[in-house]
Amino acid sequence: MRRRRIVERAATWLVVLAALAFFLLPVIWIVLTSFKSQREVFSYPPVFLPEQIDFRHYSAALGGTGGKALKDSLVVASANTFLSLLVGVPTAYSLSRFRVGGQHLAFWILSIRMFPPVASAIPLFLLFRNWQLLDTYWALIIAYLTFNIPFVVWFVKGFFDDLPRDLEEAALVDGASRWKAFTGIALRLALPGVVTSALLAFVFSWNEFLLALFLTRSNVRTLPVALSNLVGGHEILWGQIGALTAIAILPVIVLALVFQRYVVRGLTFGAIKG
Amino acid sequence: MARANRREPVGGAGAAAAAAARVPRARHRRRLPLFAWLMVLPAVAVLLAVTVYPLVYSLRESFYRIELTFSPTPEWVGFKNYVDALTNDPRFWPAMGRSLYLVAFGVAIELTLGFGLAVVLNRLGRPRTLVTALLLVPVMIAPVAVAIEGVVIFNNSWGPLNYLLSKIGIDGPVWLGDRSVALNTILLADVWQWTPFVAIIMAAGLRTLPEEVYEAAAVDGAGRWRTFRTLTLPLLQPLIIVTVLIRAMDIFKTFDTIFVMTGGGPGSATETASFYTYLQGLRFFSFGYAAAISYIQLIIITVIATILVRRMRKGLG
Amino acid sequence: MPKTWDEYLQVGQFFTRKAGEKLAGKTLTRPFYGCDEYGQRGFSWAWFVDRWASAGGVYFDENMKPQIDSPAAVKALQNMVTAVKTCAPKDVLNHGYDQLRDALLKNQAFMVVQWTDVPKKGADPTQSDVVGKLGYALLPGTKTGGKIVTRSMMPVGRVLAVTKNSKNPEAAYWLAKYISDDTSKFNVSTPLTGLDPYRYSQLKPSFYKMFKSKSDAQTYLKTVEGALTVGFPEIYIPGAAQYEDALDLAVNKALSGQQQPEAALKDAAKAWDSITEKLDRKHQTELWRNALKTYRELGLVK
Repeated sequence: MRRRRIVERAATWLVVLAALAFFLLPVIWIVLTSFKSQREVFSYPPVFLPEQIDFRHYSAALGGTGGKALKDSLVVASANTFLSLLVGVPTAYSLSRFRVGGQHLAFWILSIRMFPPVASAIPLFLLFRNWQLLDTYWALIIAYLTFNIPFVVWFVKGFFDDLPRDLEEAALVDGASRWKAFTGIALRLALPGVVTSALLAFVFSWNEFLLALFLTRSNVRTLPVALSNLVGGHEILWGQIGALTAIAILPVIVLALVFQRYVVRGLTFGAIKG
Repeated sequence: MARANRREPVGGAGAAAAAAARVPRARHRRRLPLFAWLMVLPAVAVLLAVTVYPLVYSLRESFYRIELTFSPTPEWVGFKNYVDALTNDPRFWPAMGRSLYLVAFGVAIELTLGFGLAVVLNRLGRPRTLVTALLLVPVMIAPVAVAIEGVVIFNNSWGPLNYLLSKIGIDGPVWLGDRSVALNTILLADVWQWTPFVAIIMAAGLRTLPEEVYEAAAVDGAGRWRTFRTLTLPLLQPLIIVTVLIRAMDIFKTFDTIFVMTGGGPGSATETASFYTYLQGLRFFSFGYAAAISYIQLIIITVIATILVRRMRKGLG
Repeated sequence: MPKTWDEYLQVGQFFTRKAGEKLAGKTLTRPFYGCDEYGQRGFSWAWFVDRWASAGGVYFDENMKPQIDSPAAVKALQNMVTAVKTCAPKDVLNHGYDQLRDALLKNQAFMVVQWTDVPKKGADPTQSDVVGKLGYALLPGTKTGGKIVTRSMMPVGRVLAVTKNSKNPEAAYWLAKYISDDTSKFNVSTPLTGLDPYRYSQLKPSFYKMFKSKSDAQTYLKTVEGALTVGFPEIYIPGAAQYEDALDLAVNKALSGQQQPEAALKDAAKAWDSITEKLDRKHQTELWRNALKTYRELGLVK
């Protein structure tokens, strides 16, 4: 029996290590690239450990467009996440508790996410041009609502669905307003789900490329666009790309670690009861 | 009404019965409180303003012939764009086929691998949170960055991937330059980036399954596979359905990796529906046609999603 | 250096060696290739036009009939397909500008058809492994009527113009002059940009300091000048992106083995016709006739 335990443990760890290798090696490669000289990037045999570790690509990237890109992405993603939550969570609650609009509204909200973004790029461009919002933070903040609100609604709705109504009903009976029932009870209990949806919504905003490329030019330049700019027509600045990618991952990882308790608990979806 | 509920006995069966009794009553409520509508209104309003406008605009565009490189004036053509795409365009259906290939295999692989990984993850004790956070890193990298680096990593001659493979005696394929491999490379990039997402959701879902039910099944002598099929899957069904839907929609829209790594080639090997739409809209500036094929895609995806959900609900019990 | 496209194949095949074989007295640790092409989708059609135009090809005839499925075109595409199959690196179909440049500069391929910015980078030790070992020549051509005719496909359209309604025409003019004359000398003569020399005033050897000797720079510039005189413009009538993409798809399909060259080009010709129809045949024909006149005046087409 003990032998079996040890074999099981070993097998488990083998799989975990294999998974970590598969998923992390490319990332490690990217980070190592950020320290390589231009020549080392395309040499053969591939250079895994650069000769010198110096941060010149990092300073170049940050000094160039990277610093501003970091700021722009932070502004857009934070504002968009906040608004998506502000609008999405109450909607999720309403859909869950009161079934407003029934199946149709819920499905419509999700189906919005199905529309090819390429096709919405042009109408959004024209819309924002008319509102004088092109190349501003608001253009992206608003545009990203189109996929983050549906996401938050659907994601958080699952958590609310899983929460039994007893506590809220009890509170209502005790004379609490619906709003109190919502914020004091339901929201508190579903908080892991809300926090997780916030993190994921942030990631989706942070990484979005096509609309950012199309709706902004110079005043606002988010990280994915700045990254693609490092791919010049006749020269690719691999070192800076590595550096900027590494920089781009950091805030998200920090957020994830800070909220990891909620994230791991929160990705339950809690939908086992449907 | 509520008062009566509160006084009911709280035995196991009683609570279940009470819960069952409550739900129908909620459904029969005819007037929804203003509160409910107020909470939904902002979302609907914003979504309407920002999404319906592009949707309606595109719909309108799709009925016109718009070739911006030729003339700024649109010309009404009714359903011609749709008919052309469906019957006269030798590139449209193959492109759809490639997209659906990516969706089918992508979802299947990510679901299987993700589930397997989830089971393994749940066996870890304390290291689990750290491993989870580490596994989430691919999800957090911008797809554009993944694609740009992918060009290096997948390079047949100098890339580290083939180099490492050659060290263990495998002659690495021409990941991006071989038409029989290229689409699978795009698939691989997506699997690499999103399997952890699926795995972590599944892991959490598995952890919330009630133990008692499993114990009862074990006592009844049910085998591992049977328990899995008749107990685990049905219980996880809603979770699986939503995960599949979200991944399916996102894989269908895959663009960054194709744009950066292959440009649709070699030949037409990686020309998916999303890439073809990009070509028509943002390279050829045939906006009317691009709008039409976008709507066709929307309809096809919606139909597939609906069918998928129904079959999953039945199949998973 | 090969003078015709057939010779190009022969030279390319001659120099293609596997790892372990010998080249110039040394044993190769890695495979060495005789040639490399722009195989990536997006611009692979241009490398086809290099060959086809030298055989006298031009995109449409006077009546807007596509010429890309002519026997000469098929032969030209066949040449490219053979090059890709027999003397180019294995992932040639993923080779865009960067990979192509690096194939030459990292000593992986013997010869490469490229833009004129690559020799500049080739002479720069921070970017090239083959400093001092590069030679340049005009593109191979096709023997027509006893003479070898060569053409260099050229993306065109990078012009600065002052509009009729400009509020500050003089200022605009001086800015245009500043960009395209004063500063351009520096922009095109440094190995750090991808800019190609395009004015006679830029063809002074003393600007190109990256070359080891003045005569080296001279050779380079003479080649550039030669290429400029046989520059063969891309399509520049409306719908160019669509025509070029259709051709590019056909070329790429042939290169990857998805279709035979003849069938691929026939499909492309059909696609070209439908594009012309879509855009208004009469207007397009008119615009093309104007363009064709220019090609003729430049001596690029009979």
